[in-house]
Amino acid sequence: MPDFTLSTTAALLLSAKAGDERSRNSLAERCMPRLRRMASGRVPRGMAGQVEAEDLVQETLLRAFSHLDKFEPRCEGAFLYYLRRILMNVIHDLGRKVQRAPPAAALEEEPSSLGPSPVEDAVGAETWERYRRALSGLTEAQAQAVVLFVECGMDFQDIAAALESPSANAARMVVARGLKRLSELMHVPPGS
Amino acid sequence: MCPQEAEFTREEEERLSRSSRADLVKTLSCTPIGARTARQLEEVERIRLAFESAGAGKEAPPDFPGYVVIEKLGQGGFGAVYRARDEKLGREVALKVLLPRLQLSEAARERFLKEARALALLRHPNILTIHAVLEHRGRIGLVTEFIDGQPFNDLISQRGPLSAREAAQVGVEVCRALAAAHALQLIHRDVKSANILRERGGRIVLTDFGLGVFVGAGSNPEERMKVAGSPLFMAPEQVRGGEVDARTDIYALGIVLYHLSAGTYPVEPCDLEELFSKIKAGALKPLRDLRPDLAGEFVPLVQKALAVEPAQRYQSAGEFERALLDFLAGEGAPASRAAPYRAMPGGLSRRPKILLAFMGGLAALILAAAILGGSGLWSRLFNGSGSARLLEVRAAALKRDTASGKAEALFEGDRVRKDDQLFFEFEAGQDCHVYVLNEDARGSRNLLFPCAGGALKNPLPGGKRHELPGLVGGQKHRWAIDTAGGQEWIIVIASLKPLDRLGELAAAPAELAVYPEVKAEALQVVVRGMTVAPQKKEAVLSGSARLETLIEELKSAAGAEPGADLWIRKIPLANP
Ligand SMILES: Nc1ncnc2c1ncn2[C@@H]1O[C@H](COP(=O)(O)OP(=O)(O)O)[C@@H](O)[C@H]1O
Ligand SMILES: [Mg+2]
Repeated sequence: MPDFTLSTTAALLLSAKAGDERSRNSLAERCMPRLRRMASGRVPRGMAGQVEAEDLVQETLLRAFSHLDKFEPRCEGAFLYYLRRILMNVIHDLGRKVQRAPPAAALEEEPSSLGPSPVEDAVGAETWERYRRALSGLTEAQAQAVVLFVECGMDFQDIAAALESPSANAARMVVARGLKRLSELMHVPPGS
Repeated sequence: MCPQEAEFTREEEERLSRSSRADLVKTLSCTPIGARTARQLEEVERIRLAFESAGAGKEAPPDFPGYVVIEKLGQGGFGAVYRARDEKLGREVALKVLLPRLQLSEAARERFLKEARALALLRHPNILTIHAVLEHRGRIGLVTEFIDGQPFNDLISQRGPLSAREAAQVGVEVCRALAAAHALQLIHRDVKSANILRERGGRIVLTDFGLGVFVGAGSNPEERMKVAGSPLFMAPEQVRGGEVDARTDIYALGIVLYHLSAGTYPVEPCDLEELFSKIKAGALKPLRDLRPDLAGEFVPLVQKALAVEPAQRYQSAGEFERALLDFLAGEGAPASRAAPYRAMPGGLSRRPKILLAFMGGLAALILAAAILGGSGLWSRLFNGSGSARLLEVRAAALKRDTASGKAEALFEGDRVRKDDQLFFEFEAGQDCHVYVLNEDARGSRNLLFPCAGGALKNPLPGGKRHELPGLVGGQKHRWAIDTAGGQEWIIVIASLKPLDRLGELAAAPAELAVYPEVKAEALQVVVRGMTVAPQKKEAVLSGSARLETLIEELKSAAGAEPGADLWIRKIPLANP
């Protein structure tokens, strides 16, 4: 096999799964900027000073790596999406620790008692909530594309690479369809 | 509800395909989607922008009173290690802090304190010396001596494997460290290349007793049998969850010596289950197959340490040390059969490339450490006062255009070919000065960026992705490889301050020439002498030695101007 096929996230995942520390590091390096961005928008105000985006990133990666066996390497986009889910768990646990209250059931739930995150601050809790709910109504592939675009700040070239789309333009269309569908779902009242 | 495909007309698709990241949403809003959807779309765009601005935030270094953090040295599974200055004593120390998220975990704090106490018990030249444990605002920190050097995993990946003799010498020192720990019934359990540091001058230091466990009478058997360790270095009994003892560390040291002399591990990357079953079965790749040139007596020494049955290994660190010393004595005159360290042929190509993936964001913050005399994985350089001026490199990737029109990232050690067109993608959090140099095996060095007549000039604005070299004469340019020349290095240096000395250190800026047959919209720039004609008359050193000198020079230049944050990335490329 030519070497460069090994440099894909999937290959890194494989050797990281085998415990190779360097692959883990490479993988972490690769995902960190995107994950950091997803995390930065979510640091609850109530935790400012105590918990930084970086802590969330570290914890997320650590959990991800200790459960690597549960993840089937597909593409970078899928891995980032998986990291996002873990990130939400991390924030959720953090909230639990602080509240010392019984856990909310759903993983997609982010605790509000810690105060709004920068993103919530910017758009309002209600919009943020609608966005997250609508996201779960998309297909997995669409949701991945939307998250890479909205939360990770990736350009279409990078999204194409992450989703293994044939071209930047193909990726752009996946994102556009995802965004359109998302916005449609966002104005549907919950429960209808 | 079932999401249906949101389809667009041909025309809309056409329009969308022309929109950039920033105006995709605007374009979408102009398609007939209905006012309500359009409003939601705007909200989504606001969310996107909010993530964008939140993402501009930074990570905070630990702030223990009396200690000024200088840079990050490395990070493992439990802690991040910083180089810091003890202001009262006026000396440099290493500051290990528990990863912030672990600070909430009682168990992690307990283990951290245990590590501190274990280190405090041990006094040995080959074991890291601890000075103090700090606690401040809920953060816990461990102050140890600062080792100006590198861990062996980094050394091996940068320079290739050691000779048998050198590996044995390292082994002897680690045996001594282990003997001291074992004498106290303390088993390290995490002996691995990343936990053995080589200080400048050659001292070998065993660190990271975070997984250490006491095995004497009265110790906790459950603790002794917990599965812990780094998978690639774990002994069969460790994998099985059996009891560990001194011979468990002997086994791990066997893997270390294997790794030091082969450059790879005895089990190929595979999943954990397979790895463990191979370890249990002793199905290790024979060292001899990887290094047929290794001194004859060395291989069986390593093999013995790697016996599946502890009873068949060396029974103590002292016994292992004895065997290594006998080997070294038998070796006689220094390095007769051993390959010299620097010149180890194939050092670069032998190493699996995936392990050195070099790309993007954090990577950035990182490699500086490896070069700036630091060691570990990632490093950020702070200025003297420790916070305000911080060079944060967010993206840094050397890329090559490909036929498909999509650029691919180049990895350390990758091959380049004649006519390859390269560019460097870079983004930092602040305005900074970026210099790109190229050096070949003959020591010829060129400044590729900034280039005369280029539109992109230092300082490059922060918070923005740049493609270097950028526009020259209004057209997009690339660096082209014009000759073959063996090994090449691309060196990228970023600094908050202009590095005027760099102009002197590098040869005169490369002369740019334009290919006559211009076709693509991306005009090629041939850097004359990218691989030719050394312009300096100094003795020709090996490429990496030259580079080391340059970096040393830069370091001292930076030292002379406190506050000049430096970030350096060195990318070796094969250009056969
Ligand atoms: N005293 C020190 N001086 C210099 N570098 C150090 C020192 N201690 C640790 N490091 C660097 O930090 C890395 C992680 O440190 P380590 O103690 O192994 O942490 P962990 O327990 O998280 O693995 C090491 O691999 C090494 O690169
Ligand atoms: Mg370690």
